[in-house]
Amino acid sequence: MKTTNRMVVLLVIAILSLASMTSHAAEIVLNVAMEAGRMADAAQSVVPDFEAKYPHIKVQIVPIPYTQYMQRVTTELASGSGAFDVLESHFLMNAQYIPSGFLYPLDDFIAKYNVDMDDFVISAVAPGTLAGRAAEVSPDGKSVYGLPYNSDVLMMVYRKDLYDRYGLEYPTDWDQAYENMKVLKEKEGIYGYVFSGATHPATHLLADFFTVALNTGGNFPLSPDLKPQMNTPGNLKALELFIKMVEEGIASEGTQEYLYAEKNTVISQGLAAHMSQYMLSAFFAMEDETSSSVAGKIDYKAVPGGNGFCGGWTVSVAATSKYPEEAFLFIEFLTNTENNAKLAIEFGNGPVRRSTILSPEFKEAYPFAEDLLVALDSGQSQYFNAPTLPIWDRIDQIVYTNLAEAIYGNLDAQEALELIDQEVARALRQAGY
Amino acid sequence: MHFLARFRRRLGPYGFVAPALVVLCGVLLFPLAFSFYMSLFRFSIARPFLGRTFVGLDNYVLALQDAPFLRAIKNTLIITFSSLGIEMIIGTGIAVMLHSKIKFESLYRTILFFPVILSYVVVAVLWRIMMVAEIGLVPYLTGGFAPLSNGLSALLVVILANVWRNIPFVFTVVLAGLKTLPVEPLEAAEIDGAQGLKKFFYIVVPIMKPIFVVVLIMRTMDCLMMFDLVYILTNGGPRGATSTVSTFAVETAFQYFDTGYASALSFIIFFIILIITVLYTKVFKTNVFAK
Repeated sequence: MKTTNRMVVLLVIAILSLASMTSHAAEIVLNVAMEAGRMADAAQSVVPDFEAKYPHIKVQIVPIPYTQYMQRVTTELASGSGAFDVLESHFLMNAQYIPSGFLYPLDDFIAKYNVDMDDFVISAVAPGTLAGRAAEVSPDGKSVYGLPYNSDVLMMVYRKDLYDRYGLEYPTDWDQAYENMKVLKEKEGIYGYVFSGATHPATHLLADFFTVALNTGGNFPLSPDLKPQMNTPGNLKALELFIKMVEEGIASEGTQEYLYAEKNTVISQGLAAHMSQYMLSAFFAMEDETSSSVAGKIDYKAVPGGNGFCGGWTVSVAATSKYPEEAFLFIEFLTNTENNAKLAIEFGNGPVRRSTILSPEFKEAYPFAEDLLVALDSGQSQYFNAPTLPIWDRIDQIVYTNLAEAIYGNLDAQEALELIDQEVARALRQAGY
Repeated sequence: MHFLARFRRRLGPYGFVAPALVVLCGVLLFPLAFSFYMSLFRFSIARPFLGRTFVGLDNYVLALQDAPFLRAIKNTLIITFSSLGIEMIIGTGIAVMLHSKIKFESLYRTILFFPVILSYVVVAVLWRIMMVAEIGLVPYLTGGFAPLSNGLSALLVVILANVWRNIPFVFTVVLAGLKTLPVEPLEAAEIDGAQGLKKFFYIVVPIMKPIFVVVLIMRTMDCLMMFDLVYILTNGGPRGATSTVSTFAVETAFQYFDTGYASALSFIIFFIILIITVLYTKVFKTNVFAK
């Protein structure tokens, strides 16, 4: 009897242990850091399907407001807290995270799960590979640290109805664009152009400036061999155009207050005729009939001159994750062909796959799909020239601070560009370059 | 036995405060000391691979020559003392008015108290929506004047938003003080012929001095460390015209991740607050903790 009792007790313990092990296996929880809003909502929408496909993995999306995102994620990664298994990040963040060993290399998983990297548009791949040069600085010599999640490229958003009314042609360069803005300012009494001039933080000002400069013969602030090169005739021409627009009231002085979203509001309220803006989110803001007074009156084209400025977000696996393979399965799922199309069409996430952009569903949802593909293929960013430089935040700060001083009348244009080159050279020297 | 009793009597009290001291050291002194240690290095938590270089007091020297940081100190002092002046005058005025047995006192008190229950984030968003160029209410009503596009008016907007949010705090504390005033000195003053403002400045203010000092110290701390209101309302703009020491330090620490330099900035801010607090207690010659 005693022996039987013992056997029963042992059996119960064994069953309980097994159950505990099984439930432990089912308790893999991935914490995913996402910028609050569209990108977090989009990621959340695929979670039920992912959990249905992989029942032993639970996904928790942690939405973090944009203004705190970089601070929170960087602090968690630097402290090695392991708070996040997956995170989204942009080029500037990756240029610091990859050499710091904060991200898990994805090369082996990409090979193991046959991810078709060729389907991703090149500018969207760049942040996760440091424009193909990650292996030079990564501690493990690998080359891919993020899968493209959200493409960002600026396109021209303009009032097609007013162009038709006054018989204007879509401009092929910025001189012609300026003339059109002037005409619409005179005839309609609205601003010809709106841009983000706020300097805290001001990556949007850089995007707006280089969108013009890349098409007036200008160039990015650093050459591939790390020589400052802002002071060029092309950049001067672009800067003088911005100064002229503010001086002549074609763009308002209020632009110095505007961040990304306020540009959308100015256009959607019918107060300005043109802006360069990241797609596809601009399309959603303009065509929402409940909040936009210009829905159906807008057209979207590649910017005059055709050279687009791009940003973009990747999704990565944190090096501290206890479940790197499961985390990879999630980011692969999030960026696969089916979900990329779903997130682009339903949420306005920037498409990262060529197959998505060329699909009939996408073309139907976004009539400017082909222009978007051209813009994404030609998209450049200031980081591409020196992708492994880890102090881009400092370089960016020098550039936008002086550009803003010139645009709003505190510095001469030529003087501002010279100052940028001098200060960038000093920053590089201080950082040991 | 005698020795043990003496030992217990002498060291016993230390034993009782020891846990609190350990906690205090852990949460206050250690981070403070570590922050000072970090301020002696040039390094970044976001770029650990670049290593750490000992630079001694270079970060402090750099900060005191850093024009944007000096401007942030100036802005902080302007915001702090302008806000305090306005808040103390209007807040005390409202408290006196509500204390003078007017009709519907509790209704006025409830309405006037409203702003202080809003978080700074909400206040900043409300004021930004009202002020932002072209699309805000104020530019609309004034035919295009955009207060946030000009350095001086943007600073004024920050001060006004801060004052609007915090007047209720001042009047509530002062009103509570007024309600507990002893009646004897006031009656004696009236018998001696003191009336109105004379009675207020010569009797009420001296009795309530500790309360005013507490309000001043609390509000000064709050203003000197102001972050979220400025960060959301103007983001330090236009072009740094409204940046404060806190927004500047946070930007340095968490946007540019210049950790060593940001630690030095924090220490400088700490000393500014310390100096102002010591000055207050010296000027008002009041120990607010005294019975």
